[in-house]
Amino acid sequence: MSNGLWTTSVGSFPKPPELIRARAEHAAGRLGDEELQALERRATEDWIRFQEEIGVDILVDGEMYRGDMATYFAEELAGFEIGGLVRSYGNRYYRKPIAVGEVRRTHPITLEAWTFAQSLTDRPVKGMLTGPYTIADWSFDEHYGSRRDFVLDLARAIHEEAMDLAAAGARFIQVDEPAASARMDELPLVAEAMAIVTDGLQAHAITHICYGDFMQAYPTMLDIPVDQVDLEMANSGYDLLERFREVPFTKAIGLGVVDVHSHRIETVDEAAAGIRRALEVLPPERVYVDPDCGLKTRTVEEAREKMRVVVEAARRVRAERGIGDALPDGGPTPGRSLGAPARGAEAGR
Amino acid sequence: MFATLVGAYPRTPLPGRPFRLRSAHARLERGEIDEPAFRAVQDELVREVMAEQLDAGLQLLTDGQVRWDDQQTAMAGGLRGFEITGLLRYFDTNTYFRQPRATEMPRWESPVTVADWQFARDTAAELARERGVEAPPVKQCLVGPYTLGRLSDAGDVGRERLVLALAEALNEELRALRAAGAPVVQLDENALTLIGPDEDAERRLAAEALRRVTRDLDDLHLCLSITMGDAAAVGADVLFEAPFRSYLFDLIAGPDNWELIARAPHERGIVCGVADARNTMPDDEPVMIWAAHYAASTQARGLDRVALAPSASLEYLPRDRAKAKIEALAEAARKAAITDPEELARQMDPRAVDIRSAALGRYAPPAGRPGAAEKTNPAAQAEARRGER
Repeated sequence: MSNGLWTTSVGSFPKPPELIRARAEHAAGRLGDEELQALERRATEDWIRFQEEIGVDILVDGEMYRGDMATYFAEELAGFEIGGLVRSYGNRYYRKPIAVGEVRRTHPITLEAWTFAQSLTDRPVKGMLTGPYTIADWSFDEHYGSRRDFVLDLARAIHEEAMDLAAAGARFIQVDEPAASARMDELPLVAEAMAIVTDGLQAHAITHICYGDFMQAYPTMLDIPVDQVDLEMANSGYDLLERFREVPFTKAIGLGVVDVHSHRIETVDEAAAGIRRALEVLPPERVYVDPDCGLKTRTVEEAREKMRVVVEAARRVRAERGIGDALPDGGPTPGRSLGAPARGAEAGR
Repeated sequence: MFATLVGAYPRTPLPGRPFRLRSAHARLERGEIDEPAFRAVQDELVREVMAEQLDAGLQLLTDGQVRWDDQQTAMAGGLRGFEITGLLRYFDTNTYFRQPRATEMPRWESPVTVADWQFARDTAAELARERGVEAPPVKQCLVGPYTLGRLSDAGDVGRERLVLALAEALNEELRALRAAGAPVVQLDENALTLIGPDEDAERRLAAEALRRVTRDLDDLHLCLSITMGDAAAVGADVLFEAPFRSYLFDLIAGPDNWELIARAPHERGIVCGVADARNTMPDDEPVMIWAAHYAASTQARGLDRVALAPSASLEYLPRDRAKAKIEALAEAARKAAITDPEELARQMDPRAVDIRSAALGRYAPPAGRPGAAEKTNPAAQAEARRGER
């Protein structure tokens, strides 16, 4: 029996209202570090328990201690200062970092939080990092003048963090690069930076890409040296899957099956249909099932419902197809070095 | 010679000020306030950002587009024939929009932006009255038909038919704005930068869309704005055949747009997008002044047909940096209007008296200070970086 369709999530979960209030109080100087951390840990534990209860295979800590995904790392790295608010869409804003000097890692950033989350469960907890290209792209640069220099310095910093996570026991490490699909001409730079990040990394390396022109980015995105590419699929109607028939997908896929920017809770039927479409072009052992992106923009209840749909849909399709749920080891796979197929190998060309 | 925005301005607050819009938005979503109460908060923000433009010295104002989630949904949502779907990244930014999807051939049924323009006009008049100055004109910005069509999901309508139908629909909107008294309307056609040199069908489609959207509007000042890259592949013939009175070009992300400026007929106005809207670094005044003078020199255009602007929407910057940018733009425009070279030299940084040399990369900034030439001249940028190491 083959195994596959492992369920996970992309990284963030919504913070409970009491933690949102506490973060505001902390920012205003009315709440101490220890009190805030206690609330963050309690919320982390709640999300770990929830994921275990519903049967998620590969857990995340939910990022209760993070704000924006790029700014969180910039705050901890030398060479950045944090600028004012910038809008990303609708009523969503983030503080955009500014590189004002050479970027360096001076201390572990996520290690303590990952270690804490992993101590709460026997299931694997993913290490969650933001990729060097995305941190650079979502920052202002007042120091480097060269995007490549900026990105590669960040890659060295994120590599150190990834190696620490792997040494601590993280079997799955995700390096989010949502900006990777923004500029097709810079996909080689994304891949060059990721090669630094994943160099010698003894873990299943994942990158998450979302909300870009996947049709343009494919198949060059396969040159990014990771074991798994996690893609937002529900929001884009699973269009990219059709391309896999012409140009085979060479890695494992993280298949987003619920839209994280909609209040509507998808039905299990809808999500299961998405999984079945993926199984037309990929074997189950190369399919992981999750939401399109981090769920932090939803309410706690919406996020929980969407996660239940993800898990139930995977469970249903596993039962239909006789697919097991035994987890892979979580080490490097051959897919990491399998880039875009050579032109002659593309079916139908 | 004056300075203006491309259109949007940050809706975020200045440092240390409360973020009333975000709170109101959240309260609206939770049902704690109603639409009129939310609109009142938006109205106050429009007043605030227009006051900021006026006080900075801009002479053609906008409402900052602070009411809109994005240009595409703001327009598509007001037309018949669209539904609004999933998030998409806007060009190469970290800003997103919800993609409109055509469910039928789109149609204009009633004015979409007129009420907002009228509010902005009245606000500008009120702010000017309070300051004892003449009321500045207010421009209305709309996404153009090619861009709205290209960024939408055309569905069964098909992209060519969608773009042309949008040109007809937007022509109606332009007529409504003209009837309301709008002195300047800007069409934002950033998707023209996506057209490649060998895409003749796209060029023809864009040309036809621009012809249709501008039809029978000779008495309205229409400006064509192109940011996020260069439109050189579209060609001067397409751009200048359409009867736009002025053109706004991004000269940071699209330095090849200079070629278009050089070929723009002399009676057309040129708005030089020279203040980098995608970075917090202060812009070099000598380069901005040089850009204005160079644009004025092309086709013997003259300074009275030239203006300065950011290179793109200022919403990509924090509010305080955007404010600094428009203040610098207004100051550069003021100095660019000085026709006596000796007086201009007296008012400028003595290191940059030879402003043309500065922009051409022969101006050596003091060590540690990024140079003027690096912004617009890749060769100078590379040379400057080598010099720093």
